[in-house]
Amino acid sequence: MKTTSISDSEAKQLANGRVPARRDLDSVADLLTAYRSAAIGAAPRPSAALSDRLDLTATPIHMQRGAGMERGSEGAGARRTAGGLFGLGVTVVIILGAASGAAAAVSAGSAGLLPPGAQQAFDQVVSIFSPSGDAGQETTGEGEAPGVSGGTDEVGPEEAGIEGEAPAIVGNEGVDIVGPTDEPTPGTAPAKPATPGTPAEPAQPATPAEPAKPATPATPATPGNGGSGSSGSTDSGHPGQGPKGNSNPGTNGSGNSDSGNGNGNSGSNSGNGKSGADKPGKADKP
Amino acid sequence: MEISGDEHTGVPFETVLAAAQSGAKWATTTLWREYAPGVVGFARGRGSRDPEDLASDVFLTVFEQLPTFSGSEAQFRTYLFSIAYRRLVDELRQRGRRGETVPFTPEHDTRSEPSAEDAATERLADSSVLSVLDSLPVDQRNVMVLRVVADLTVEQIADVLGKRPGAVKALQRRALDALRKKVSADPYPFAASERLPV
Repeated sequence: MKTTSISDSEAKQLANGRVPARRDLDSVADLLTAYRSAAIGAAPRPSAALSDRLDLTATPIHMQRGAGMERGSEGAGARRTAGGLFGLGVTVVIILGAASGAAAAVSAGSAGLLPPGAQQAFDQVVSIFSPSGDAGQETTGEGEAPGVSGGTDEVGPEEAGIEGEAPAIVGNEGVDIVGPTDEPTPGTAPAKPATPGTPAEPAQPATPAEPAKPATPATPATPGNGGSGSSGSTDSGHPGQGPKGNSNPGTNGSGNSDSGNGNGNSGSNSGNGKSGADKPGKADKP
Repeated sequence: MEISGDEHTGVPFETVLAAAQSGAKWATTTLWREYAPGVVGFARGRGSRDPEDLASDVFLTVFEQLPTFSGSEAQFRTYLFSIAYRRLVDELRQRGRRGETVPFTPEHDTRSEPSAEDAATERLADSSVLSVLDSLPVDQRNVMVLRVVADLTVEQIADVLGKRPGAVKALQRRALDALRKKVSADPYPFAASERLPV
């Protein structure tokens, strides 16, 4: 019977107590396992001279060995990583779910696609927030209506086409940070020039801003996440009340103050983007 | 000294080593309990007459030299089995020079037949398993015992035996090949003359 010799990898597997794929090595693996278990027993009895240096009555203490320690740390690290990812995933899912749900509802409401009852409620809410504007009117972002932004809004590049048309900041409570293509439109209120990529400043105006007068209706239960986003989107979705921007920034500010952190800002931004993005083609057209 | 660690992960080796270097008995006892079985197994597998005595001798030497030792757990293991290997070589040389002296024990007296019970016990004893490697050449036995019992890597064995890792790999491969041939099942358990004509 012809047999091939044992390779280095198979020898390593055998020596480490594993069984290689070759069937003719099963008996060798069994033999080595039996040899190992027969050779290694319990701790032997020390000699008299050595006993003076030992305390055999003490409780045995488990010691980390090198290889075992590495394996243990790897396992623990993997568990920690998995746990962290899972925890992060849940958080992200909650935030994204709330934000996307609110944005979808606002978008549908703005487009008038909600069921009759819901659309009516939506219009009422919008009319509350924007008493002088038309509830169903959407911003075209073409500059005829100044953008409404009171809090610290950081507009991403994807929103630049919208906010960039009407980047006016009415009221100086906040700082608008708009995308790179954002340029102030003549005729709009003198605003601070956009600083591309400037990190958002802390929402100093938002904090003392009007304490949450309107943001409540559209705010989801989780404070600081989607609540501010939805309220912000509601506001900016109807910027026809441009002059009221001073009050609407308050709305935004209230949203921000609701959130009290960057989540609120980002939520309102996403809301802005969503509502403004309802008709992005208009906004992009010159 | 405070012992840090919990029952699941255990005390880190570095903590035990530092305590043992300062003379803490719990630490020396931990090292003894952790490594002495491997040393005894190595000595027994290599044919020591008194493996436990050899292990005690090895640990006495280790504890005396421990304050000067620094290194990881793998290095400590290499260091420990290097001393064990030297002690074993000393014993084998001494035995070879003076001749082997075996104290009389009635159970090992070959002039009398063992009882059936003793014979059965002997067959079932671990010694039959442990004698499997006895047919290998000395170098291959050294490698296999250090690899299987002491759980050393090829590089660690090379350090202990003073060989190159490639040579240790070759010895290990040859030893496993020899063991495979030894234990491979004979497809014809009966001799040719005993087989029934077909």
